[in-house]
Amino acid sequence: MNTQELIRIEHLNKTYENGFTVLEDVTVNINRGDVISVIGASGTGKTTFIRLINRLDEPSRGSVILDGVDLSDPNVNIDTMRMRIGMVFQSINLFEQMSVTDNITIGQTELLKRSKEEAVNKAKELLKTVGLVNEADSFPEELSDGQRQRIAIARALAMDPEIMLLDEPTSALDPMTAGEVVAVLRNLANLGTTMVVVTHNMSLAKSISNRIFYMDEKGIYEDDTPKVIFENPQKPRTKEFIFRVTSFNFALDNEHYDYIDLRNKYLNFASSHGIDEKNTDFCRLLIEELATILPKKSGTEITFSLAQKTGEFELIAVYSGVDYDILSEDNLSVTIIRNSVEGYAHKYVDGANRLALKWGRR
Amino acid sequence: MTSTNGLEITVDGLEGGDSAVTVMLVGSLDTTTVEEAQKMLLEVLEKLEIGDITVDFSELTYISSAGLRVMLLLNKEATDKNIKLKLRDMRQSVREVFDMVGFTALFTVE
Ligand SMILES: Nc1ncnc2c1ncn2[C@@H]1O[C@H](COP(=O)(O)OP(=O)(O)O)[C@@H](O)[C@H]1O
Ligand SMILES: [Mg+2]
Repeated sequence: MNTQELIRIEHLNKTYENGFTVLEDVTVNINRGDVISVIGASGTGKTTFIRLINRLDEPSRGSVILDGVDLSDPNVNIDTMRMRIGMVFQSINLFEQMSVTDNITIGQTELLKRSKEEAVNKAKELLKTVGLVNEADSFPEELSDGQRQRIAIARALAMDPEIMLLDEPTSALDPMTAGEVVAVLRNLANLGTTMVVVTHNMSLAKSISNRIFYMDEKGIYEDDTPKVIFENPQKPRTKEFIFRVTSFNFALDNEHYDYIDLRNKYLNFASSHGIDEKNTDFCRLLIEELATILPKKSGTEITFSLAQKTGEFELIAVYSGVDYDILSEDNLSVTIIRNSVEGYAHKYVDGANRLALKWGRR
Repeated sequence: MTSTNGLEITVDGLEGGDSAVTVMLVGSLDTTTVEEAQKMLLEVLEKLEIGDITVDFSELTYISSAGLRVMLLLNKEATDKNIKLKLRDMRQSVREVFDMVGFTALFTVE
């Protein structure tokens, strides 16, 4: 792999006008060909970090050096430098009064001074990359949000940027259309595009990146490969975060709990973790059966998680009351659960029952 | 288009006064859809004097114990009326659930 340095970030600090420090002394480099996913809880400075890279925001201290050029140097033409960085936002901004092709050619003809013909050819090629050749003459308002985001990506790529920065490009989309955008990002990663993607989609982060930046404590708290970050994080806060985002929790604390809400939240969780259809349905069955037999009262909750290392699924139920294993009953739900799981354990600790079920991928 | 989380039920053969009725289940038979399914299926049975009911499972993508209970009830009511209930074209994942609880032996599964 080409490990030539493209961007060097040195001692970067950002304190907003209100005195709040978001980033403190961040030093890191980005190499050509890197595909970096930036993950972390909201408010940890992910957006700030990438806005500082292309100087949509001014750092309070420190520098961003793109290909040897310090972007804070007053003699540097920032507009020219910014053209070398493609940016895609969560909120999709297209020129609504222009056709799809014009959206992709305008920057090329106005800023790069390409001929109309050259720009149109480039647009055609990029529409192929994002799978929207048939929409060349459409107007943005005729497109779905997923299609619009793919056009925004094509428009950024038209400038032949050396790096693409994407801030939660799929967060505003429903799972189906988000999938189309994810496919485009995967394609770009395979083509060797240097990218920094802020995302909450862990299966995307895991599968397209060679590096993950986990943001916490005002900086890049842990920077490592997806394998280390997801399977064997080295630092405590990373461990906590990874467990939290790879598990799904739901309270069944009263009789009128909303099963549709449970199911939909679970289905969203499964899709954002890249669980295939077969396993999604199988886990859904176990969750539904367990929810059916659990006592619906204060303190009852279920936690469904994915062991990243082994690929095993785990479902834990906690419920209060006397020492009682609900799987000792005889009913259809119990039969289904007992016949499906590969391991099960019931414990009674401090007035609470804890039932743990485990099974492997099918 | 059918959402996989909902359930659509179509009944074929009842209007013409046929003695062979086919009920097609499309989607998902879970906690949220069983009530409607039970109502529809028992209605069909009520209108039928003699003959067979075939439930076409080919487009049913998901079933839980809630769905199994409905099929069990339908089977019992049909037997009481001397009507034969057949379950047809189950997908592998649905079939597995039937197998797990030993229902495959209770029903005529084709
Ligand atoms: N313009 C601003 N002025 C003051 N505080 C801000 C501003 N922009 C962001 N922040 C604060 O900085 C923190 C990090 O924001 P952001 O970079 O958007 O985080 P993330 O993208 O990880 O959610 C948040 O607490 C946010 O409220
Ligand atoms: Mg953000």
